Amino acid sequence: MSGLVLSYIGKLIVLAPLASLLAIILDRAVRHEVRELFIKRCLSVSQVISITAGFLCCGAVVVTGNPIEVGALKLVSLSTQDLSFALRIDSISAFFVLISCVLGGVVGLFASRYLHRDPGYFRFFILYHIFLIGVHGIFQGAGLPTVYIGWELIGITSALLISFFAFRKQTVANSLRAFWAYRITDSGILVATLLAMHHGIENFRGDWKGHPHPVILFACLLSAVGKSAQFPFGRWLPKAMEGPTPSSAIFYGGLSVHAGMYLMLRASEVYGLPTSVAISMVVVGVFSVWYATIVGRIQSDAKSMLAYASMAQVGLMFIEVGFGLNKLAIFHFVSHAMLRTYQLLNAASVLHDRYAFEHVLGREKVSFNPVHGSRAFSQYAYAFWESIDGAFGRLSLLALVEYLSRRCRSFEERFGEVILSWIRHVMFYIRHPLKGASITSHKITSGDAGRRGEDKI
Amino acid sequence: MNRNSEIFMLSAFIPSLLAIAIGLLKVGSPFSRRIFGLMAPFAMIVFFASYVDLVGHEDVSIIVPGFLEVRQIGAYCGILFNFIYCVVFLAFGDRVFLTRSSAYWLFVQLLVSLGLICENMEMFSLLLTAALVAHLKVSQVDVYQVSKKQDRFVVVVFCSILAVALSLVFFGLLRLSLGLETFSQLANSVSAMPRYLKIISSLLMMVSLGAFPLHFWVKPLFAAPARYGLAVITRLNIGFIVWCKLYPLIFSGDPLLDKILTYGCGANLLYAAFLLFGERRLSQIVSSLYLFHVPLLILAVKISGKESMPDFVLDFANITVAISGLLVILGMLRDRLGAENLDRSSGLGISYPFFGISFLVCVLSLVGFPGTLGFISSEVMLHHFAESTWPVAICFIITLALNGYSSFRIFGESFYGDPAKSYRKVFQPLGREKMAIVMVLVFLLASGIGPQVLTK
Repeated sequence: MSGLVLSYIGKLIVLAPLASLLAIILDRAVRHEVRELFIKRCLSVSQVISITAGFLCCGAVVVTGNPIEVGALKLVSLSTQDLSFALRIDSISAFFVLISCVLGGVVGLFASRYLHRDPGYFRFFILYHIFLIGVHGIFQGAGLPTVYIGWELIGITSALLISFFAFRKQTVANSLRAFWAYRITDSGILVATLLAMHHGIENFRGDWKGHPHPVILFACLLSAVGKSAQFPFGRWLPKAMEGPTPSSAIFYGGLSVHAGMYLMLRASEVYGLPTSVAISMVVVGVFSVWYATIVGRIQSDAKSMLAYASMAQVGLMFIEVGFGLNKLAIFHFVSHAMLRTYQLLNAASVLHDRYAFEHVLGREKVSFNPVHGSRAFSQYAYAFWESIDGAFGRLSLLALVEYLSRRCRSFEERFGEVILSWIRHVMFYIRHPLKGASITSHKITSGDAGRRGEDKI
Repeated sequence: MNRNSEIFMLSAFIPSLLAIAIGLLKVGSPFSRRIFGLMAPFAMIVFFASYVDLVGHEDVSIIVPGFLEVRQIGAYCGILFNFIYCVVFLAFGDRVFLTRSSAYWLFVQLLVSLGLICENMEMFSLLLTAALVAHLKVSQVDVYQVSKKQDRFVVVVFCSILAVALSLVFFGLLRLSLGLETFSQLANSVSAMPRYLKIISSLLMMVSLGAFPLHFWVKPLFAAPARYGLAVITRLNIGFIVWCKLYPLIFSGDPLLDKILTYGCGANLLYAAFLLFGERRLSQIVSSLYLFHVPLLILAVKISGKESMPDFVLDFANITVAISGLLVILGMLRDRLGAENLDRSSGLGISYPFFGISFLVCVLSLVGFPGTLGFISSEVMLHHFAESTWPVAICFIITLALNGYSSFRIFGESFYGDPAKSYRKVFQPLGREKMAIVMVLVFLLASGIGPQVLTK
């Protein structure tokens, strides 16, 4: 496909959620009621378009290695230069864009069922769409001004979603705490943007390694530390779990929490990473990992544990970027974002799953209501699906993350092991579904989140 | 010179005068009320249209060159003043249209519009005096007497008298010492002006706009009760026209004055940011946000320079429209809740999202959030600050962060939280009020996405 066609397709990644947002607002304004089905359809269509466009563009970038200039919207002409909202997909941003498209769609569809009949349904999806636009602004931004716009959009939507259950006083207080951290650290990216514009090096197209300005990178680091909840600004992250589970999953498991790492990754590629900044990154990462690991072990609820686990993993990514292992950091991001989103989405239903499996196995008499079809078929189907799901989530992805973060064995060896183990499990479950369910049930309920936090979920 | 523009501009005064006449002649008759009710916003709209017509042209003389002229900056201000007057009249129409005082408010606005196009300095001084006195009179009768808050009014009176005295002294001395008569001559002879005149002009601008440390009147003025956003907006407009007329003096070329102006404004920024930190009264929150933007107005002109004047028009538009929106929301809330403390409106945003959303958008625009006009204006100003004075840029960034947090805290505490009993009987916003607020929101959001319309 030619560059022009790809740039048009690339526009769809941002325009699809924008159109969906406008359609939802218009529908609400015209009909004076919230139509869940309409919102769900808008979201589905927009996300299918977005994911398809994301796959096409990112695939083209990965295969050909040529960046795609998606487009630019000129906001205002300044006396010396223009301020634009410009988008671009290159080899660094391709994976981030792809993951944000996929997770955006999956979590959106999850949320459309999860928040069924919730009074804040409309509010959630408005903020969710704005968040998606902000995320694409960050990951596709062709320059620091665009990244800054996305950065601020994510900040405000994050704060508003933390206080989603706004009638609770504690939720509002937690939201304010998160916003406080955001506002203080966002000054960094503002300073970096201004400085970069002052020197004419604000866009990511050029190679500005010959003109490094340490203040730009330190300012970026300040913002990255705040957004990725790293030491010493990380205390807001566990408190941010007050929001609805889907928003926690996509913000603090999937995308938002990695925005800081992405910014540093991008800055290191464009401006180079002076030793002082690299050392600072490593120090921040080490402290964050140390702090999050220690504090995370004494948490009594699953979501807080997962929040600290995210903080630790992102700390590791900071260390990787600090050491110049950028490709490893991208790979780490992909696996961590997928796994953490899965865990956070699953956190609320671990107990439910456990009871369901126990009922299937006949160990305890816990009520279980099949939704569709005959009782026996539903239960077997459910158990089988959960087995596959659990095996995939807990074994393959967790193993990848563990490999990246804790063990030093070679990638090929571990990856092969994981694939083989996964295939072995699938074959085992297909042959013996009930035994498979039993094993998976045991693993789920005795896993990290389940073992320590099941009573509090 | 465009003859059509002149005729259009002059014709704009006719409906305004008619509306005033009808309002003053007979209030009791239902017919006259309706006529006035239609005529007043019509007058505003015609004013608005006439200024829009003048924007594209160079300076236009009306009737007598050197006496009544419209400059580009004057046209911008005229558009904005009349836009926000339309909004406020629309929001509080049910009350102001039925009282005689509404005609007086319209009269003050007419004086403001005349002041904008007045080129002769002595005439301008007289118009300024008339506008301030009329504002005081109507405020005294209409606002402060009703609420028995005369002690607050004394401060407003004092500062208005100070402004009048300074203007008379300044324009008189200009005539005596330099023989200047018109504002165009003033712009050309700034460098020849003695320092004491520059100091007097700075004081006049500060007291008219409410810049630190001559900001005493701002807080009492914003405490004006109930729906009288008109009292506040009219007074702010008077300050803005003084600034529009005297802004060439900012380019004085005097290094000492330049430093005082720059660092004084930086101090003002920090002062306003910390003022907002612990504030719990909604009206004072709006006043603090206004105080935060006053030094920006001055600095924006100074730093952007004569060549990039359109840049600071963005900030001017942001301040006037967003502050007006907040005042309208504040008036609506105070009408319904009978109080303005944050605790009284706790949980309001959950039951009445319209209040919450509109408050949030206006506040976010004032603190420079992306997607709003405030973002563009703050980015433009920061760009200019970064090019010229870094300390002020850093001050601005710090205060933006502080104000952003304070604003969100206020939003969280006042609109979220456990629903208070006091608002359970609050009525939904009326259609007219909604329309007024929607006009403000559309302006802020649309110009945030496509500000080229304003800058062109």
